[in-house]
Amino acid sequence: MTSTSIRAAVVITAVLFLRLALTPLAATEPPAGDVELGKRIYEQGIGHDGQPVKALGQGDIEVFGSDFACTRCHRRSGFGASEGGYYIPSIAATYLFEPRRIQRSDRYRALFIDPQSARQSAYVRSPRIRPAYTMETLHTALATGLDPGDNRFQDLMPRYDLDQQDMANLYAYLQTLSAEISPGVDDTHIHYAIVIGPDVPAERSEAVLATMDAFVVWMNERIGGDQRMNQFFPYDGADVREWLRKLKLHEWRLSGAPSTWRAQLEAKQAEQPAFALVNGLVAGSWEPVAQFCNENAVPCMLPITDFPAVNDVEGQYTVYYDRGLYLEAELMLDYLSTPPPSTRHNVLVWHAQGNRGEIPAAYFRELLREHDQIKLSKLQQYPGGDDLAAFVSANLERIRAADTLVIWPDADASALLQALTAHDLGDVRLLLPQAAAGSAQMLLNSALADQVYFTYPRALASGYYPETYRIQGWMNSRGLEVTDQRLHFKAHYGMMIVFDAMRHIFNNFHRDYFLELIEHEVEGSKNPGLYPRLSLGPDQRYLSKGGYIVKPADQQPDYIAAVTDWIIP
Amino acid sequence: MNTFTSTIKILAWVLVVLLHTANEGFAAETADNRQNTTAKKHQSYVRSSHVYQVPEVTLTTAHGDQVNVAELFAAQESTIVSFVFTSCAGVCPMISATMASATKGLDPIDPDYAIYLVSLDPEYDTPERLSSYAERFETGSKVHFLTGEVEAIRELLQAVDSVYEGGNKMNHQPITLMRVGDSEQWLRFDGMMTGKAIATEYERAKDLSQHPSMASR
Ligand code: HEC
Repeated sequence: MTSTSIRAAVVITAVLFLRLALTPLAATEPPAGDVELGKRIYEQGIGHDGQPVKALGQGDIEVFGSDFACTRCHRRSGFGASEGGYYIPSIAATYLFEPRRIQRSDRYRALFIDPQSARQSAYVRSPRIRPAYTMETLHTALATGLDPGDNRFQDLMPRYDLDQQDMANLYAYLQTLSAEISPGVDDTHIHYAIVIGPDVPAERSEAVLATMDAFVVWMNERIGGDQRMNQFFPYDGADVREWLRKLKLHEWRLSGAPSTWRAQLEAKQAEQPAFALVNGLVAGSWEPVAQFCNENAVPCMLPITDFPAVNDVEGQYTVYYDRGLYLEAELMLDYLSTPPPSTRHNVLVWHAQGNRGEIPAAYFRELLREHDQIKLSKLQQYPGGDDLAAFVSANLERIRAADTLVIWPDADASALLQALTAHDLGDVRLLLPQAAAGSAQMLLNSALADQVYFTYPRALASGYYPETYRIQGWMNSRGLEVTDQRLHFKAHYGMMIVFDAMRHIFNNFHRDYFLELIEHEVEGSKNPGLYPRLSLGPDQRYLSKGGYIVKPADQQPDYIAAVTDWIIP
Repeated sequence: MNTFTSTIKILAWVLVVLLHTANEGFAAETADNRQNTTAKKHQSYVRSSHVYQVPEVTLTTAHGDQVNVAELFAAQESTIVSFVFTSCAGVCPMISATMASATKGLDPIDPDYAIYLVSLDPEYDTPERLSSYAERFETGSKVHFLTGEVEAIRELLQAVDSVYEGGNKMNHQPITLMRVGDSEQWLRFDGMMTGKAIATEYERAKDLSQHPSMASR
């Protein structure tokens, strides 16, 4: 006998034994399943006894725990993924508990969108028919790797050793998994909302809304065109076009204190649910909105904020551009400590009144606490308006005694820098966030030109991003007045990312799946030049991870030049 | 819509449908081929052999040390290399677990080897993230994780002909590279390997490097 036939014989015997073992049980009552405990198996790989469930991976490796929980491969939505050249099928309820259909939406992505190895694409194309799973056939499949159509799974799908109770719990959970489509989708439209907080300057919200509205009009025209095509040519691709939905954008304007936002958001959601939130502007922390998104499992795509949530964001429902001012504080410390100073390095910290000054200053102070050589000499809030010049004069000795003056300004950066240039500051180094980099040109003609540095967690204007020109052209041809290019581009990119995910979602309108598609596709999306690189991965929540340190420089676009490589703090 | 354009469109659709049917026919054929090959040899990877020039780029270990990759890969008798990233959904945890388990089979054959798992997501996979990942997978002292500048890793990927499509790491394919003895020849395995398969291939490669005449067998 060849080794293959021995193997086949072993498998068949094992299956027969399992079937025998399971049949009497199927005749008696199977234990009642607990959905929550089933979810724990699915997402964490923990069984009803609190112990990790065991599995065999790649034929011979014992694996267990969260790294080999179902969600790792089939994802939170159950829709699977195509990754590393492997196609991981959907095990959402609507798939498992129905005979395998040969429906294009199921395989479309695997077939046409994701690049694959020849071996893998042959595998995806081969129609392996199977009936709907029952608890019994699922138990057999998980244990032996043979589905109810007697097709053998690839080795990547582990073999799970589940007892009757775990099986019943998992089965109960799988019956609920993406069983219903998410709210915010009706027969004609997908509803999105943008959150706009109180105290957001009108010119900012208008810039963002104008861009988004233009995008919606443009997109809906294209979708309308495709839908009309179905009336005339109900042939190839008609099934896919039938699932097209136009976009409808709602403005969710908030008022009052952040502590009241949750209730306001929930009321709006009850009135007309949004499938996802897109872009979004609030004056302070995004945290209250992030909490709403997490608790309602609503994806919040790319809010334009300097105050993202920074703790335990992985796998949560908000996806951010970057870590905002927290990232800038970390970049500053990284810069000051590379190479580590050999003697004590004194840092004087000034900040403006209000969120944009106080929050990063406090965060920066915390970072310094853990450093041995870089020490805070004093943290001071500087006054605004007429008192600024006097404050600077009164603190000259303190500035000269420091090695670095870190400043967290508000909109007053240029006035403060102007006041500082009036004095001889010795050889102190000044370090400010990107928001102050607009003063670079002014500084060039001052004595401070060689002493001021900015964190710059974004692409340099000297970089080449062809997509920039395309988007600029798109905006021009729509008569959009581009007052703040970065803001308009962010508004556009947020919509683009959402639209890209919708193109691949077909009729699987599930919010978790939507997020997974975005995680998967951001890295391949066209970079509009907002950041040097954009990437995500499963459960990652920041598109960009680092920044440069720049200084004022002549004959450079934006009058700045990088003095470091891209730093990942 | 005038009649001319609609005629053209109908013709176009007829063409699309025809092409579609032809394509389905092809798909079935490939699937048949596949079944034939799997029935013959139950192997989930493809072996090939290449001369690769490992570039002199600097990468960072999970301990934060800077290393020259060309020197590192040449520092021991045999070197095994694969590519992963910590947030990767299914394939990478499996590769990491496989490497950890492979060491049990490799050690008795000849312990003078090292395994390097290079991150495809260096910006996210900081040394701290990699060292906690290594701990979680109990990869042991023979398996080393590497990260570094995006450009350096891209250069390495180019040198070993493993650049993934569309600049998107999600499209990476599982590969294992193996260099045995002082030969410049690298064995390349495309596809998922078991720990046993890695040990078997290692043993075979060692035999070949010690008795080159067996190469013709
Ligand atoms: C390491 C990745 C991985 C993990 C973890 C994993 N799977 Fe899978 N699963 C796969 C792959 C790959 C396939 C496709 C197998 C094939 O068809 O060759 C698959 C197929 C399946 C199928 C068959 C679907 C069908 O339509 O017939 C079921 C059911 C399934 N998995 C359930 C589970 C459950 C339940 C868990 C957790 C207990 C789990 N999987 C964990 C990778 C994984």
